[in-house]
Amino acid sequence: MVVGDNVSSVELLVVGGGPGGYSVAERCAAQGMLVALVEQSAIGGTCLNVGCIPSKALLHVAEIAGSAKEAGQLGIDLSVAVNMSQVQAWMQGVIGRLRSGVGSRLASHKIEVIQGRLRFEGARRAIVTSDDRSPQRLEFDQLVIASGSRPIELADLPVDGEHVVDSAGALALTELPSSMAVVGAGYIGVEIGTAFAKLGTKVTIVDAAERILPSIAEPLTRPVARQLANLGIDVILGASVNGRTEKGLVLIRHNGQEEIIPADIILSAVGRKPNTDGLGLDHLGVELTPGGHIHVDAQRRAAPNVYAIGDVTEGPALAHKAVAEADVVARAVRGLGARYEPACVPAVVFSDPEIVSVGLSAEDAAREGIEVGSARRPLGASGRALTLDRTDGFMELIYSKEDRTIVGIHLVGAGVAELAGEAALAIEMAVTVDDLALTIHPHPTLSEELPELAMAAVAKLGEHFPSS
Amino acid sequence: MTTTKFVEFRLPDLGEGMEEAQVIEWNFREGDEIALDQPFVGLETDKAVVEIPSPVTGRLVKHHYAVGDVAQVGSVLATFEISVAGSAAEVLAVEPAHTEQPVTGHHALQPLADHEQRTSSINSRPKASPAVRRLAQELNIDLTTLKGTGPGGRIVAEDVRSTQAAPDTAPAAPEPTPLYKAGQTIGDRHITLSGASLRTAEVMAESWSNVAHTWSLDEIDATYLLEALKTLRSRQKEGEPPITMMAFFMMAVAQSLRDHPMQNASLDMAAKKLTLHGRVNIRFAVASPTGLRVPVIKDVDRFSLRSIAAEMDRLTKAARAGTLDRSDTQDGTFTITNYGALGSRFALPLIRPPEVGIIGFGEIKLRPWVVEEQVVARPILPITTCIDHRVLGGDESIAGGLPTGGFRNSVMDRLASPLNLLGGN
Repeated sequence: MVVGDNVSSVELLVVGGGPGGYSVAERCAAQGMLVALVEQSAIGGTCLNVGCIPSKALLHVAEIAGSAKEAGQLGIDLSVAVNMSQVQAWMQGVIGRLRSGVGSRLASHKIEVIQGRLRFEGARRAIVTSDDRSPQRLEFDQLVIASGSRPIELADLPVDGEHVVDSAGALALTELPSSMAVVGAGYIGVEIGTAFAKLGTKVTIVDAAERILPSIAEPLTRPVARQLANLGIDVILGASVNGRTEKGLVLIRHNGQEEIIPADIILSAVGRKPNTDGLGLDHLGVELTPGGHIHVDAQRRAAPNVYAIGDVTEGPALAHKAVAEADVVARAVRGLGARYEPACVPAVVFSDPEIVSVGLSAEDAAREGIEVGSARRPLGASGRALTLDRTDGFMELIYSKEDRTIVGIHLVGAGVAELAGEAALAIEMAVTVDDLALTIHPHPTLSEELPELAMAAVAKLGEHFPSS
Repeated sequence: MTTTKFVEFRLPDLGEGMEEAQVIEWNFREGDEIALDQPFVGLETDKAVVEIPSPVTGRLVKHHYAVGDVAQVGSVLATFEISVAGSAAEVLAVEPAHTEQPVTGHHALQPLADHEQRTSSINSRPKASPAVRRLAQELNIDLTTLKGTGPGGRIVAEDVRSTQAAPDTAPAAPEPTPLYKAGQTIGDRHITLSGASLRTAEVMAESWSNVAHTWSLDEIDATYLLEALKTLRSRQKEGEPPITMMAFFMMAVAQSLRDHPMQNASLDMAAKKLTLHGRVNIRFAVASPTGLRVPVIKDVDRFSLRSIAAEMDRLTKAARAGTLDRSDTQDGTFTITNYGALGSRFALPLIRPPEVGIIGFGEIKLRPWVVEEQVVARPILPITTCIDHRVLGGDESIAGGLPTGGFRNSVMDRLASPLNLLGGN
């Protein structure tokens, strides 16, 4: 079956081994396609190796360390000493288990996994190079680009891995810094900054924006801003970065004043950009958007035999969005009519407290011309929140006044992340406030607040049950 | 302190069930500055000419349609760039002082939970579960055209299936068009048989009444066959008609017919005569938007695999496009049916008189197979050969009729060892 030296021929080539890439590879191989997957670094991609998974593992550790203060108020004396290299070892163990799980699934589907840097040489040809092997050429019938994204690097604040780190570097620290400046108050900066503050680092978060988490509706971010202050984190807004000195981060405030934020470590978390450069995409006939993303249609098709999914396409840069696109592409490559048209892509911020935002906000709905109502309850009314001693936060339900369907669910509170799935299901299924009000939810849990909100909506709209 | 953000403007529903509009004039060029509510494009619908006001103050960066193009409701008409005061972490990335490298300003990913992205489709989407929506997508049915019969007007799977529309003529997913398109009403429908459908009914009735069908159901290990297919495909150049499994079947059957002419014959009972054909012309079925078509590949036994693939490609395309020449469907001497493509394992196909045989191929699937006294999983190809027992007796071991000399074994051997097949050409 050898056509020439080091040339493999496959029906489907997948570029990138993150959640989008490995999902589409598995689904297609399960349908009998001959599949190869090229990954430049570690299988599992950003999410598993240097993103979602390690950051959530670190947040769990930080939660335990941070509970000492709270425990004192409840009558338990705890003292905390963080051994960061032991923490790292545990985190790497978590990552390792997940990574070997993905690896063995790929192997069981007989997917050829090739390590190295890929470049396209033609519409159906690519070459993979690596430092320790001779180049390998690949020919393919169909292609899925799932090469992901990488942190944006500020020109004035180059990441050196020592004083200035990106999110991956921060999550791999084996010593606890005594001080850290976080540049960027988006979800990555807030999550990692919160974790280090709970572990004992003096954290300062800076951003040019006028508020934290600018992509999230402002009311949802208020409990988080209050908690950042409680944790002793300084948040400096409306200031831009002007490089660093040995002492720390140089900031320029809006009034033009320069200020130095002392910091052992500076975390640069100013956003991510798609990995669409350096691949030789010009051979494929795909079109890039002004933002550098690959332009795709509803089937995620970018050219007749080329698909793109995940962070290289427009939309939220989230693993679950990539996996949903992978499912569509795995059908589209077989000529089936599936399309990526979700009602919602749930967004979760693992801040303290957590934020869940699914579907439309009241403002979105107004912009789209839907007449909506909303119901909101503070978590102080929840028995479960009281027993957890976390009553900061609220839940909000947005519903269509016209047909009573639920179009948005927005939550902020400790432990609400696990409710995001129910929220997404309700919106995908076009559940009405009546349906939700009549669904029995277990007591005492945070989830029982959802039917409470729905009952409030029913009370406003008047009772109504479908005739059929 | 500002950052830039891109806003896509989608053609809004201009009312009255209008689904599309023609671009008649762009008032601003790409790159022009524009203010909120300034009319930026003129559109003509079948009812009126309308000016669309700009949704933003910023810069128009892209026209997605040229003047004269027709845009569909919901499609992106134009992209604007707007400045957002002090928004998002990307602000830092677009500081003018930082432009040398490596940041290119706005090229950050859209922020988490970007409004346009996560919500654009909730509005006015029909009430249906995700699974029902997937069903509709795959059947190419627009849910907005359906009326739901579920609770509260919800569209359920049954609503979608009962409205199964004719597939469009795109090359993907060739499915035969239903004979009629079911409407919302339930009642008897009458279909007059004519043309090809009437002819098929007559031929099948004649076959069932007169032909002494005798079927043999066999299986072969298709490991080497699949390998050969994969190898040859990998050597194909771009643009070549794809070599298919069907091309291998065609070649194996053609060579076997040449070696066993009794099977490549026509029977005329009235004249009490069996005519052994000099040419090997094989029929195969193609699903076209207007029903099943049965083109004929002529002189298949003289063709290379590549030529067979090319000819099948030509005939298949012509059949789907409805441009088959009359001669493309005449003078068949034998028929291959590939019900494996529909997922069948074994079928008992009917001979098309006056032909005296038909061969059918089932779906190749991994099945238990005994190799050197071990049960192993192998890709197995089911084959049904059928002879007209009025005149043919299969192999010598079957009593009665003229011997076919092992046509069936010949096909099986060639497919089990494709090197023999390719080498024997």
